[in-house]
Amino acid sequence: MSDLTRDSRLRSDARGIKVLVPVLLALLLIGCATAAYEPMRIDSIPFRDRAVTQTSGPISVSAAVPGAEETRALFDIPLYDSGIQPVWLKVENRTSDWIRYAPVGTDREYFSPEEVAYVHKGTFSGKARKVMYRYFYDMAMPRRIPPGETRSGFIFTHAHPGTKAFNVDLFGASRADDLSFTFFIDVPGFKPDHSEAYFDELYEAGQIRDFDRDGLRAELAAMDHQTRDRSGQRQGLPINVVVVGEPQQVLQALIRANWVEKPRTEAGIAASQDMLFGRIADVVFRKNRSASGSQNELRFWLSPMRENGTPVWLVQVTRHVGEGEDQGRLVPDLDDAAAYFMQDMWYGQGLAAYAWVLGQGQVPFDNPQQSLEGEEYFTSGYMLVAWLSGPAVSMLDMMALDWDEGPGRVSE
Amino acid sequence: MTSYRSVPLLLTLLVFLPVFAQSDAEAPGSPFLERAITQTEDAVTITVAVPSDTETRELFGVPLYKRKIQPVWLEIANDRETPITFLPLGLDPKYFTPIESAFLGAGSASEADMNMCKFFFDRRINMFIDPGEKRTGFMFTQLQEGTKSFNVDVYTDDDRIVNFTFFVPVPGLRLDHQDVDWDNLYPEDQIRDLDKDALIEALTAMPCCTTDKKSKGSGDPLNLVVIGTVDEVYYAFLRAGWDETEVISRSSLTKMAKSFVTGSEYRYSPVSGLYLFDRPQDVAFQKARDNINERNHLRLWMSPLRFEGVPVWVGQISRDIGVRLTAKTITTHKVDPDMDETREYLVENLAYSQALAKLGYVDGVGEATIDAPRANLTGDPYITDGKRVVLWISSQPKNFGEVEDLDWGAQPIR
Repeated sequence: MSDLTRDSRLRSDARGIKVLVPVLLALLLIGCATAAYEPMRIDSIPFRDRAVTQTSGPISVSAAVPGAEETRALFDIPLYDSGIQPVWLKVENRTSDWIRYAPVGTDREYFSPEEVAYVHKGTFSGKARKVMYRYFYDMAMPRRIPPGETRSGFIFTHAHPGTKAFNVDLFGASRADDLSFTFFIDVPGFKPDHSEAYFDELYEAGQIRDFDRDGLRAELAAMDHQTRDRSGQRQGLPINVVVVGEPQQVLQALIRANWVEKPRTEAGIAASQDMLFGRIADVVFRKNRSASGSQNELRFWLSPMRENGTPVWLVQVTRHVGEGEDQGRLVPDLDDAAAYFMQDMWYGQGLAAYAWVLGQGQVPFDNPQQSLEGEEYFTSGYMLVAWLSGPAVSMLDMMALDWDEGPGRVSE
Repeated sequence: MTSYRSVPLLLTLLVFLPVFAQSDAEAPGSPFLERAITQTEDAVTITVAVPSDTETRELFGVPLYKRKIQPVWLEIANDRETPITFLPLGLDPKYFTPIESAFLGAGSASEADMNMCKFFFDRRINMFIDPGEKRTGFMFTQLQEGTKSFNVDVYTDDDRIVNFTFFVPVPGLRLDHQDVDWDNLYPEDQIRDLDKDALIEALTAMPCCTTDKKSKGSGDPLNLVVIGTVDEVYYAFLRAGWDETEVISRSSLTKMAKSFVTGSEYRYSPVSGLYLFDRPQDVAFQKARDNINERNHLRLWMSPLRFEGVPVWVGQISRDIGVRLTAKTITTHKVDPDMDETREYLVENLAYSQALAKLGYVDGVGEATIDAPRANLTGDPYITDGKRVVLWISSQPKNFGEVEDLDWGAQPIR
């Protein structure tokens, strides 16, 4: 027995050496890496043709975001693979004072240029590394823009697929000169689910029902807010949020609060069998809450209802815990999820007004129901109605409408 | 959570009502409430208390701290004539709901039965407080050991937000600043109170850099001056998301070893001493970023200088961007060579956290250009425009648009 063991160990050692030799060779090669650092000239990559410019009085800001391939060419490194997305900025200062640009306004945890270079020094030779460090230093967007001058360069942010949304905050000599520009820039290489046309074609003109605010309230209270499975027999999760807003406005508000659009048919979308108006959710957004994978999800259906011409969306918001066997597990308290969404939009300065409306389906804590996936939930039956705004609404300008009492006030 | 549904309500009540009564947070025998802190503003009274790791286990029966969850106990009394709304998101944007906390605390959803879920659910704090009413309960937040710092935002019916800021010491860590005898750092005759011009002159004349233990060599540039009381300094950095630092002890060494072996994060890890005024830093703060090798470190020394009676601190900040091997210390953090980038990051970090009132710049570090960099004590090259930023810290929230930029003729240009 022991002989056998020794024998097999010997053989595995021999195999190990065969594997080891190329590995050692590879390590040796990396150790004296000879790769040169050869970024392409910025003028040879036309990403700045897509630059968006905004002007406020004597200050103009332009921004462009290179896609993954363009970034690889610009920096000779696949930065997107490391979750880093460069943003190109140009600030033109026609005032008579210095202006300061604050990168943390664009990304609270932006990467410093030298950090990006150092982390990717990898296979470059010693000489190439020096060239690379210098290149990143020279390509960086400076913070200070002297009077009458223009400065441009890159800042390195966390990558987001789809529309890149960010602020450019500028500080002048006095408070009156402080400015914040908000950009929404489409990045090549990501297809969102729908063009605007999708929503225009969902309903025939004759199907649309327009209400005034009181009419909407009555309709929401009376409607069936339960999703169904494909057969229409089994009930899915209820609607716990109603959003009123034009698609672009809703998108802006969500992006500003760091929600990320997900393809609606992607694996792992929660309650994916739930159907309303004969179809699965039109748009899905997700927001990660922790490194361990806990997340919140929003599923939107455009309804045929309008409030004074503005689209009304029926929405499920759910929270999910994200570890091990619980990956994606539904948190059963749907009221908590709605209360979170309300605050999230409010702090994200995207909430113009909100109200609670009592719907049809109370599901008590002590007698929970099951989703189509077999996960338990409970709810007071209140729905949050949120009027969302694209342009920032100061928290104090938000309006709380006096409709129904809201979930927190009952069952105490 | 199938088991959660199968337990009859009656059983829940029988088993858990006595437990609720017994461990009710207001009942005697909850020692963490002895550390409760109360603030009143605009007829709203908030009392908060934070149970330690051990106390949390006793209260909830599961190791929530281990799952990075920290309960915060709140009592909100509304003596106004209209309802108020408490906004949990203002306290922690990544707060946990009660049932989520039960799932995570138990280890998995299937381990958390209905009793446990109900136990957590029933002790939650309600968002809505009617006139004359008082609500108590727990909120479940992301773990912050040492000193727990947070805001309590209350929305009133007349469209205002009443904002409270709390700093609550949580037992369990041995922090560096707890050992400093702030009142006796310098003999009385060494303390110098200066006016603006004398301050600029004195700060410009400070040593350029830290030294080694024998007060020799030229280490990291002292590119930071902070003006504020001990409490203000420490509140401001906590509000801006910095963590405190533990001293070397058996407990901290064990945590360091565990973090090294498992690759897990140790937010309060002891840091090495750099030297100024013949002593290592009085206080160090650190800010973890995306991964364990990427943190910012900041060290401060209280100087014998005072400006309008307020202590003047000298310090040094660096951004770690990786780990590298050295002959002297085996491994050390690779520091971002662009010292000014890191310095300016701190200015914005404090301003956006509403912790900065004023800033100015003085010379004194000496320029080191990209073509002629200098090196610190571990041989890391660095570049700088040679400026020191002077930061007036604010313990009261200050909108970042209101930060005053004093031009003392030494403004950076990049």
